[in-house]
Amino acid sequence: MISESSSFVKGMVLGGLFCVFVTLIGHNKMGHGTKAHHHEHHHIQAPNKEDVLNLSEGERLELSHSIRVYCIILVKPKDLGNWAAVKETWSKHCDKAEFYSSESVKVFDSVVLNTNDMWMMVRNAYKLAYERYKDEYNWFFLAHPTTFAVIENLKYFLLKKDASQPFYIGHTVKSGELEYVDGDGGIVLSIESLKRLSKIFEDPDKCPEQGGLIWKLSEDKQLAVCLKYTGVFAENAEDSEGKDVFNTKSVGSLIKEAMANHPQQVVEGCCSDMAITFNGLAPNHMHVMMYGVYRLRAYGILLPPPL
Amino acid sequence: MALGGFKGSWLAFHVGIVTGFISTFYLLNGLLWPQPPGPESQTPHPDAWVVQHPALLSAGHPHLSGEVSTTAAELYSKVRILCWVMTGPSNLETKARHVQATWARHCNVVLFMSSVQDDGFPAVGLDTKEGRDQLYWKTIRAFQYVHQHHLEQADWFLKADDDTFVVLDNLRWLLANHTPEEPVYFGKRFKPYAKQGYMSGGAGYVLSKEALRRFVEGFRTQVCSHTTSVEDLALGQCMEKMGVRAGDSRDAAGRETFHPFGPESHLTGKFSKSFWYWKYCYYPIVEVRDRLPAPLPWYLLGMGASGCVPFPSPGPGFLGCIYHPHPPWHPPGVGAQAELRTGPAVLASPWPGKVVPWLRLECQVLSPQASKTPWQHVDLGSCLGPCGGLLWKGWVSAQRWLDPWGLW
Repeated sequence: MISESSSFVKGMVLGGLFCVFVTLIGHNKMGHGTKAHHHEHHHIQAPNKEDVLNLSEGERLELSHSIRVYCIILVKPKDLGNWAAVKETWSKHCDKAEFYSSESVKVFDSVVLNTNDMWMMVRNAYKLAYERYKDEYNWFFLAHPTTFAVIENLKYFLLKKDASQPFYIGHTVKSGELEYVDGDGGIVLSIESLKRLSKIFEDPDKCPEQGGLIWKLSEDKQLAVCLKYTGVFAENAEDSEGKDVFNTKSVGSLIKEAMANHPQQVVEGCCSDMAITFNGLAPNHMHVMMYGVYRLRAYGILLPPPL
Repeated sequence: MALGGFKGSWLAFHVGIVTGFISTFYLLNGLLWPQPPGPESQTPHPDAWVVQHPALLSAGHPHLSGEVSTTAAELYSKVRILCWVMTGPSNLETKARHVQATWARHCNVVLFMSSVQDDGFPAVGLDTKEGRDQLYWKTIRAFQYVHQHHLEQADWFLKADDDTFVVLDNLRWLLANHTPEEPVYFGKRFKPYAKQGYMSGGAGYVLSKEALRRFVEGFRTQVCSHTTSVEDLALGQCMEKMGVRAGDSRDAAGRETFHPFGPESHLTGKFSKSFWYWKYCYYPIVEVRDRLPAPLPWYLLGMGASGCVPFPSPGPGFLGCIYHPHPPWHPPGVGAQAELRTGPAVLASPWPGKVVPWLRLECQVLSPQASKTPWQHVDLGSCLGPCGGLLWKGWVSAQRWLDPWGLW
């Protein structure tokens, strides 16, 4: 009897140890799997809520004042309706916003680029912006007139990021080996990236004015190619839940997709709570967005204090 | 004997291994990997209803994690609102479903009123036909149903369409200054056809408990009857007969909170002067929108609405957009005053390349809570009446056209 029970106990201990051993191996295997997956894309996250709340009032103020955003909106005469809407709405929240147009337009002031080619417009706009404002602003946001942006959320996103580091942020897309920021969602460059970009503009081999030998690359891909040569890589901006904060679609489209894909969590699942951009908005919709984002409130509900 | 003993301990050993493995497995699973909080626990549960067939009772004030909504939660329990949504069998899945998934969650109780009962949705069957001419029948039956079955569950009774969007928290703010024993009802007030006016059906309206009692009583005593299928007007006339007051739902700055059209129309639409809306509004309308520059003339107009309560016809995509909760805005207090000043502005001139410097009137609302609204432009034209308005616009145009000749 005693020998049987002692054998039983020995067996139990051995069985237990074996189980632990097997589980540990299984755990490690899974860990390695997920790590390998992450290296393919560059992701960049919004600051942690706790980190921000741990800052003192003074530190928070200092940080928010140190983020100065210069907005470049590329326009053409055909975009007049959207141009007016952007001018009246979200662009007022940039520290400075300027409209870079392909040609001179009577009604509005703009920086005239005298070219219809999008890549040339992007090049010249960045060149001019760097020359004139390199000492005054440290973040440069490029958008189209169909884009709606919440600059306060952009500043929150950039809160703990050092502008003297090369950042190239937005909604990224992978095309073969090239990862680039989709211009429809807006492009954010730190002053360091813009500095490097200005230098590489001088190099006609690496960053030609006429993109691509056989066929033309789109201007957002061209930008990515040039920046890559300077060691600057595109990063996809996400919130703490992994949701994109730069959107290349409108709220309406994202909601429709959410209704089709996860009908139980439409509003909760469609978009980030701290989304920075949406694209594809008609002029009237920009005004409605302004109303919804900045004016309409549900009485009695408070969110954490602003920066 | 030795052989038997050996066999026994060999068996015991192997049983031990198996037992040890299994028990350790369950031990590890229970201790080392406690279930991580899933995303569902942070967002309001979509099935947060207590179903009291066919009514849906909200389990509590919906809120997001990280939100401080004590005031809203207090109001939720103090100002109880029963919402009934006018719908029909063909609209249940296309429209009413989205109402159910979004703003209706903020009602204390919600009922979907259809002509045919639907246990799955759930929807109440009012035993009518469908169609615009049935609207008043449906309304009468719906209010009678609510009065019969749910009178004690709420203090206020809201009627909304399945294409209306309501910000319930703001409705509670409006109603918090009144008691359910007052015979009063609120909505977007229209003036024709009734002495004290009536509330637009499309924008939604809300009755106090006393108002509901009187409405039902009116039909019982036949003081009120089905006079016309124009639901909102007929209800308004019944309210008048029963001594229920048509309330003023505007905020302290005089801005409307109930809207018969969608936000896009109210914010950016330009209604023609012959549009019926102008004649119907009980209170003066202040138009919002600047328009495109030359060749169209500028209208410098101001003052948008905020703290809006319901507006209809936005479409399912937009319902989602507005529903998202946002950071706080301080509402102006009661008894606010307005102050006028002149401010600088520019007008685009019809002459190419010219801009006309112009003075415009701006209005600031001062509230006892010392939170001032930003300066907003006032369109004098709308205050001066139709003739005055024309003269004013003429004056403005003349300025623009004659400016190059330096007459000003």
